[in-house]
Amino acid sequence: MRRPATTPVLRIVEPGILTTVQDQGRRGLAAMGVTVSGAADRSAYALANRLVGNSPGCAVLEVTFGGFEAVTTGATWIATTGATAPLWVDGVRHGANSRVQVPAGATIRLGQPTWGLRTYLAVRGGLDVPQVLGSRSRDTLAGIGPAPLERGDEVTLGTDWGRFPPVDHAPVPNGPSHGPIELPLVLGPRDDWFTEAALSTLVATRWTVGAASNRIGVRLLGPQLARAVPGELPSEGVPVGAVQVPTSGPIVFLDDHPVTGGYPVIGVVTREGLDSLAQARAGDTVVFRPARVDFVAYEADRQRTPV
Amino acid sequence: MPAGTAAVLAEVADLEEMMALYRGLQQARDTPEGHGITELVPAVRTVLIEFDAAITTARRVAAIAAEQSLATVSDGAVDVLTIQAVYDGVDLDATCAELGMTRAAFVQWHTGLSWRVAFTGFAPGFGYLVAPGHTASIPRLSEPRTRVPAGSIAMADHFTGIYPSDSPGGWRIVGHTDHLLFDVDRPEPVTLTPGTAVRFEVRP
Repeated sequence: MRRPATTPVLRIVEPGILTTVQDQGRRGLAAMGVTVSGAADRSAYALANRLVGNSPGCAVLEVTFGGFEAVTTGATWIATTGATAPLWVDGVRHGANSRVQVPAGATIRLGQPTWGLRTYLAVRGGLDVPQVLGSRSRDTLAGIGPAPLERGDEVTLGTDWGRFPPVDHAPVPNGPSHGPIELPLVLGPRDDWFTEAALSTLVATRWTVGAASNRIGVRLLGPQLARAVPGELPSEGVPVGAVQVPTSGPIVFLDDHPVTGGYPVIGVVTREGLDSLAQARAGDTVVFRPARVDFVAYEADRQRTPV
Repeated sequence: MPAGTAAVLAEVADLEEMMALYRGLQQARDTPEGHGITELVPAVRTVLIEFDAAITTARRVAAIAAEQSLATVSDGAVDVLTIQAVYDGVDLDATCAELGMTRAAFVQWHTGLSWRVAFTGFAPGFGYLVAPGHTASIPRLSEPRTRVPAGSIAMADHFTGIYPSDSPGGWRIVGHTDHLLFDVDRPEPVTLTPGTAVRFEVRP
């Protein structure tokens, strides 16, 4: 069905390195092998939608390392959150974490971020691209959802909006910290596959973010983590934030992670930690901070019949 | 075992127990007690149970997992999915040699087994199929191929799998099928979900 010509679109002039459409992702499909996916920095994503009065769950653009330019054919409102990239609307500079009015035909440009990696660009009403399995998120691992944006693409603007929030700017404690990014970490489920020394090393090391990082996972460069149990383990489910340790060094799984894996998971980073990690660039340093979890592994008291 | 702040990993002795646990958890998920469980990821000997920490707790979820009976139940009449196969894979002869069978014997054996999806993973639509009585372990290739065509029927360990899309892979390819395993435009996008019964049939 052809849309009426009056539906406003966002025409992509320059997509930058990688710009994808993201929302809250796909829930409940892990047993089919489909991961959740969704915005890598969930708190920045949610704030972008709130600033323009969108319903939670609206699709936004996740712009990786700026260099993005687009023209909107209709008058609208936008907000940028996450990585602090300079924003221009028709050449006029605007601030991040604020609601910005955009006239019809205006050019929106995002420069390279001064801090962070992923900027979220929300447009009032959301982005009306077709849903795949209940979500508009691009899953870069499985290749499902709307393809990464290319020059000349037209993204239809949605109408899924509510009232504007009472404020048009949000104070956000973003920006360079004077030290490594802290990642709260719950040990397990396979911390017992590593030596005591490895567990000490894990939390005492300043790890460096490797260049071969993406939406699937962040590679960390640093010392070897010695194994108490050698070999691979039978494939098992891994949650987002899992720190998987193959011989090449730890990988922290982000939102497009595979649902199962065969390397031991030494610990799992909390969602708040993942939002910070989603803004880490190659060369940044991170440290793990052990987080308490109100749960201790226990053996179910069963009568097992010996096999 | 804890798996972060919003998941626990339940481990049992073997695949049979895992399948019983997974079935029990699927039912428990629909009870008021199981409210808040968001994902179940079955695998070889574990089920990862993800939950919404705003609704339920790791303790409660772990208790639900511990209550499940691990007794293997023989489900009565199950729908069996028939997959039309052509046994012409590049690794077929090597696999036959590994199992000490002729091609004809292999085809008869593989089509005669009652396969079942134990769990999924690797890629959307990829199911790990097991069959009672098949315990021989078939080794993976030492170097995975960079591209295995969609529809390839392949074996590794004591599993059979079908590649839903072109992807890298290290399993031994014994044949192919035209059966589309993953199609996001179908109401049921994935053909092979955990528990699905499968029979292979030689394509006429």
